[in-house]
Formats: sequence, C-alpha cells, structure tokens
Amino acid sequence: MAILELNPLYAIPIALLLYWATLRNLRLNNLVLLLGGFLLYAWGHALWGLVLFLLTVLNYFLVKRLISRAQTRRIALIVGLTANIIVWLFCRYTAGCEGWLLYSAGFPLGMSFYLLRNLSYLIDISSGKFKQPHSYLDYALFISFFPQIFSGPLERPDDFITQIRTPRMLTWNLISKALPLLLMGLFKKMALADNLGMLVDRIFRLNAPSRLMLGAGSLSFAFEVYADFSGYTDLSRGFASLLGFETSENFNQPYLALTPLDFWRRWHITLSNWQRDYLFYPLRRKLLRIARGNTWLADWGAPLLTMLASGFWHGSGWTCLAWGLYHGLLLAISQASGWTRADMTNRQQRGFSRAATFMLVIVGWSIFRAPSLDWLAQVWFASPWGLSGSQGVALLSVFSLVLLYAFPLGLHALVLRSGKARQVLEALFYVLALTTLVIFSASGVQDFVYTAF
Amino acid sequence: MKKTLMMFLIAFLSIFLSVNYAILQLNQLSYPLEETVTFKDDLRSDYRASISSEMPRVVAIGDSAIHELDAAAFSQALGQKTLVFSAPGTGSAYWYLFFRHQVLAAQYPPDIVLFFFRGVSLTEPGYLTSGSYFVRLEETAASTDADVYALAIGQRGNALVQLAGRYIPLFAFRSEIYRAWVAWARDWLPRLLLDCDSGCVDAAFDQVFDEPHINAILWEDLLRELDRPLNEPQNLDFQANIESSLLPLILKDARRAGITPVFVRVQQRSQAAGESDSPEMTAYLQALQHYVLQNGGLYVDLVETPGLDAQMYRDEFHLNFADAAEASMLIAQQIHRQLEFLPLR
Repeated sequence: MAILELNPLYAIPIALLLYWATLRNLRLNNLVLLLGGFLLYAWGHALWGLVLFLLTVLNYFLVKRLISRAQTRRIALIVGLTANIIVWLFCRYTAGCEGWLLYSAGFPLGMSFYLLRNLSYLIDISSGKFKQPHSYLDYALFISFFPQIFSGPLERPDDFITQIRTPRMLTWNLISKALPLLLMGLFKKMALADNLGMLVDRIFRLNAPSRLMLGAGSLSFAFEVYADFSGYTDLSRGFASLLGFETSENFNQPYLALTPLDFWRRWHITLSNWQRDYLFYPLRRKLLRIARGNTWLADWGAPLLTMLASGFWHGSGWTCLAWGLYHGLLLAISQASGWTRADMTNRQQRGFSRAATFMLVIVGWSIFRAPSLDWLAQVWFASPWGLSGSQGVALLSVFSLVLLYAFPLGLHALVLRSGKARQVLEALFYVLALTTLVIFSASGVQDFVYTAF
Repeated sequence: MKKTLMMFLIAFLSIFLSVNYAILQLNQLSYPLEETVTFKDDLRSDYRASISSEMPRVVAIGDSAIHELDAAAFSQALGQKTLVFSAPGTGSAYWYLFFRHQVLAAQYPPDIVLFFFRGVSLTEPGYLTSGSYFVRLEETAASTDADVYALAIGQRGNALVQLAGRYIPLFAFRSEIYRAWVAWARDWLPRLLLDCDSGCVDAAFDQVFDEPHINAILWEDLLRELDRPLNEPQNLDFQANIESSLLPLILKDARRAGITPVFVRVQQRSQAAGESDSPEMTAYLQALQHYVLQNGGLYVDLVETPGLDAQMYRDEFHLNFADAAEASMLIAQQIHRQLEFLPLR
C-alpha cells in the first residue's frame, strides 16, 4: 500500500497539481478539492474522516428533506443543532477515555471549527437566507474546505459558497499573494511560536513561579498564541489563494486594541463575528424581551453568556471557562463604564487605553494557560514577586527571549505601515524571515496550538 | 504585489547567497560541504580517568533512572567495587559510546558492565539523540564512531534534507547558529543590567526551572511525553529492530574485551504498583533476553524486586532521594540474586 506510506507533505503538491489541471471544469474541480480534502483530513485518522463525512451527510439530509419545508423547519433546526453539538461533545469527552471508539484517534482536529460552520449553515438556511438548498458538493466543500478545516478562518456560507460556484483561475497575482502569506505563516509558526512555546511550557510547568515570572510567561504565551494562530491563518489564506479562493483576514494587530471590545474586533475576527451574530445578538434580543425593555440584564447577560460559551468551546477545563467569564466581565464592564464609547482624541489617552487593554488581555492569557485555577490563585496571592537573586536573573533572561521573538512581529507591523518604502522593506523583511526560517527549521514542524480545539 | 515578489526574489538571492558565502569563509570550508557521517573529535576523558584510577570491578551505566543509586551500597551488596554513571536524558547510543570510549579504553576495564534500560530503549538507537541531546552525545563520541552515527543519527534526515545539508551552508550550520543566537538573546538583559554572564544565567535557570520546582503532575506528563517515541507499536517488534540497533555492537565489543555485559531492566513506579506488561512487551522482552543470553550477555529484570515498592519513587522513573541507599541495596541484591554467579576475573 504505497499510497498509505506517502507523506502528506508530498501528497499536498500532488493534490494541488491535480486541482490545477482540472480548473477548466468547475464541477470536476470542486470534486477534486472535496475528495482531496477529505483524503488529506482522513490521513490524520480514518475515524476523523468518517466523523466528518457522517456529519455532513446528516446535516445535508436535514437541510434537504426537512429544513426546506416550512412546517418542519423549526423542529429540524433544533434536531440539527442538538445533533451536531451532541456529536461534538461526545467526541470531545470520549476521545480521552480508554476503551471508547475515538481513544486511538483522539479528538478530531478542527472539529470545533467545522461544528461552528455547520451550525451557521443550519441557522442561515432555516432563517431563509438561501432560497434553495445547495448541492451536497457545494455544502460539503464549504464545511470541509481543506485549508480552513483545522483552525478557520470561519467563512460565512453565503460568501464562500458563491466562491465555490464561481470558476477559478490560477493567476500570477494569486501566486504572488500566496507566497508571502505561506512564508509568514511558516515563519510565525516555526521561528516564533514554537520557540516561545518552549519558554511558556517551562514557566507554566513550575510548581509555584514568582508573580513576575507568571507575568513573563503570560506575555510569552500572548505572543506564542498570536504567532501560532495568525501563522496558521496566513498559511490557510496562502493555500486558499493557490486554490483561487479569497478568504478572510483573522487578525488585525490585536495587541494594539484600544479597548477589550476592540480587542475582540481584531482577534480571531471571523470567530468573534460568528459569536456576535449567532450568539450575542440573539441572546441580547432574548434577554431584552425577558427584561421587558430594561437593558441591564441584556448589557451584562449577553456578553457574559457569549464569552462563557466561547470559553467552553475553547476547552473543557475550568481555566477556559474562567477565561471566558473574565472576558465577558471585561466586555460588560467596559461597556457599562463607557470606556468603549470614550472619545480618545489625544495620543496619551489612546496610549494609556492601549496599554491597559494589553495588560488586561495578558491577565486573561494567564488564566487561559494556567494548569489549574488553584495554581493560579496560589501564584497570584501567595508567590513572591521574584525580583531578587536567581529569580531576577531568570526573569530578565525570559524577557530577553520574549523581546527577541516578539521583535519580528512588531517589525512586520511597522513594515506594513511604511508607506512608499513598503515595497522594498517588505521584500527585505521576507528575505530575513526566510533566512531565519532556514535556521529555525532544525526542530521540525510542531502541532498548531489551535488545532487542539 | 508582482513587483514586491520580484524585489523579494532579487533581494533574497543576493542576501541568501552572501550569508552562505560568509559561512563558508568563516569556517574555511570547501563547497559543496562534505556529508556529515560522523561525530566531532571532542571526546571528554574524565570518566575514563576515574575508571582507570578507581579500578572498579563493576560499572553501571544508565539514564537519570539510576541517578539516585548509591555506589557504596551497590559495592557492599555485590561484594565488588562498583561505580555508577548516570547520564540524564540519554539512550542506548550514549551508553554504547560511553562503553566504547570510557569503559573499554580505561587502563583497567571492569569485569562487568551493567546497562540499565527501560522499555525498548536498547533497540532504539535514535532515541534522545537530536537537538540538545545530540550535544550531550558529542561529549563522549569521536570521529571514529561513524558506525554509531549511521545507526543513531544517519537515518534521521530524508534525501532532501541531506541534499540541503550539502549544498546550503546556512542549513548545514543551522543548529550552531540557532544555539548561538538563543544563548546570546537569553544572556542579553542579565549581562546588560546585572553583569551576569552565561554561567551565571545557567545557574539561575537551574535554580528556577530545575526538577524540584516543576509541578508534579506536569512533570509526569513531561516524562510520559519523553518516553512516547519508545512506545510506538512498531518498536515492539524485536526481530525487526535488532539489526539496526547498537545492541549487537555492545555484545561484540564486550565479548572481545572479556567483559560481561549485564542488561538490567529497571522497574518503573507503575510496575511497582502492580501494572503488568502488555503481551507485545512481554514477547519483546523474551526475545531480547534470548538474544542477549545467546550472545554472551546476561539479562536481569528488576520488575517485582522485593521491597522496592511504589512509595520509594518520586515519579514514574526516579527514586526518592531519601530512599536512595535502601533502594540501591534492594536493587543490588536483586541483581545478585538473579545472576547465578558474577563472573569476576
């Protein structure tokens, strides 16, 4: 079985060539993309492929047979949403249990992302957004689009299915757009995130780090998770470009956000938008109805419940729930206090607001990354600050390394804002990134942090 | 975008070629680079010197699982002077190199060498030989160890990686540049603000991040993760792995030198708590024992050592510091019991 021994790294170029060779025939081209994507996904584990296939068949059956009929629409939507969420919960909680079906395979990578895509499709179609159900090919391709299956971005059905139905071309423009994205993706992942990850692991593995060391660890994690996830997004967008698709940007310099709300507008933008449209707004409407026009319940309840759900989606531990609750509170407080609406006209105000938001986000990351809430409470309330002796030296060292790895991210942001000189500077930056990538490729590609969700 | 790409390609070619040329010039190398087929000649000799001066009859080699073994208690239980060499984070490649360069080359080699191992580590020569583990391996390796290099390191890279290693000096020297880069960055602020050099930063890191400060549950996860490559199902096929391992070389060299190699399987905490081997592991160990005995070695299994219970371990692999002397005595007695005789000269 030579095909099974083939490394996916070699299989991807073969799949790409096959895809490009069929560009003239849209239906065949989409079929190649769907089958290629399924096969590459099932390469991780056959059971993952099976779960994905069965879920798309179930959802398509519901859409085709039930949701399109007005009488059964509501019940079909409830059945569809419940079934998807139950399957997701089942996979998540049984994947780690010995003796269960998924134990050998583990939690299907990217399942949390295609769950959200499925939910949005079901909701959109039941709300009458599409007059006709799409073909299975179009729907399944939207759910399983290979460059996005592991970590998004989370495209909306209407935008993306239009692209699926439009003939595509491989143009010089698309290639020259794809290459820098692919390079930046690899650079962020291999040169920055993997190395920051080692530092983060060291700190969060400690029994009781000092408070400042926890701060340094959280700062490292902030850059690690950004480099990792935005790196994945760059790779995903780069691959999508090579396939002729235009996909959404997911990050817009999130650590320069002015307020917590602004942070969520810049961080994982497609997920934030999904949460806003499919959770926050419906919840807020519901809570306003319950409170009969009194906005207090909606102002506090909607962000809290939305972010709690987000925390639960991110992970099953208490730390993830606490992180969600923390961000929910931040959003509600910043909204209630008027921070989000404040007119920050002068530079100092904006600088202070940015710094405060950044600090609050870092505190959030310390909750998210902590091994347990007990551990976090112990460090916050009982650990020393850790400025003296070997603690102080180690702290300075960690800051040195964080600066080294965060520097290219800052430099890239500056290069992108460099006006007329951008073309030259951007090219130079990519050269340095590629040279660095050669050096940092020693340790090999590690897992993307976000694919665990 | 198109213009940027062209600019990038031109800039990339000029900078990339210059960097590669600079590496060749700085290291005075010819192009293309010679394929790396062996280790460098920076062999340390202090272990050999200590064996030569102390003249033990028994030498024990292993990883951190034997770090707490007390040589005095061992000597007493075996009735022979014993030296214990524990090299944390090592596998069979390091142990064989140690045997070759420190034990066999000593002025008065011992009669018996105990190789402490766990799981399938004896037939996995590539285990713990990459990255920082490679640096450790280098300390007891020389350019004459091409055979070990081929088995432990050589099979790692695919053809593409090997090609890049020959024709792209930057790629060939990536590990050295990476280490220098990270070391510089790590020491930068402490040096600037506290006048603390590399040794001082090392000491601080040891104090802050060392094992006693690591969360017990996460430490166990870390150990499990470290052992994960050993537990791959294909590694349990003894016949499929023996010829590509270093075990035949260990046995051959020992036979030639008249030394009895004893392969001692350590007991882990889970085994002390009653966990038994899988059928595949049992079959593997039977095949290993048979092979060792047929080739002039001895085999000892420490699993079910009387008195060595789970409470004497601080984690899955390591003994409690406080119980070290007692555990050493129990282990030595078990070895003594399982070997009918100690073939001393």
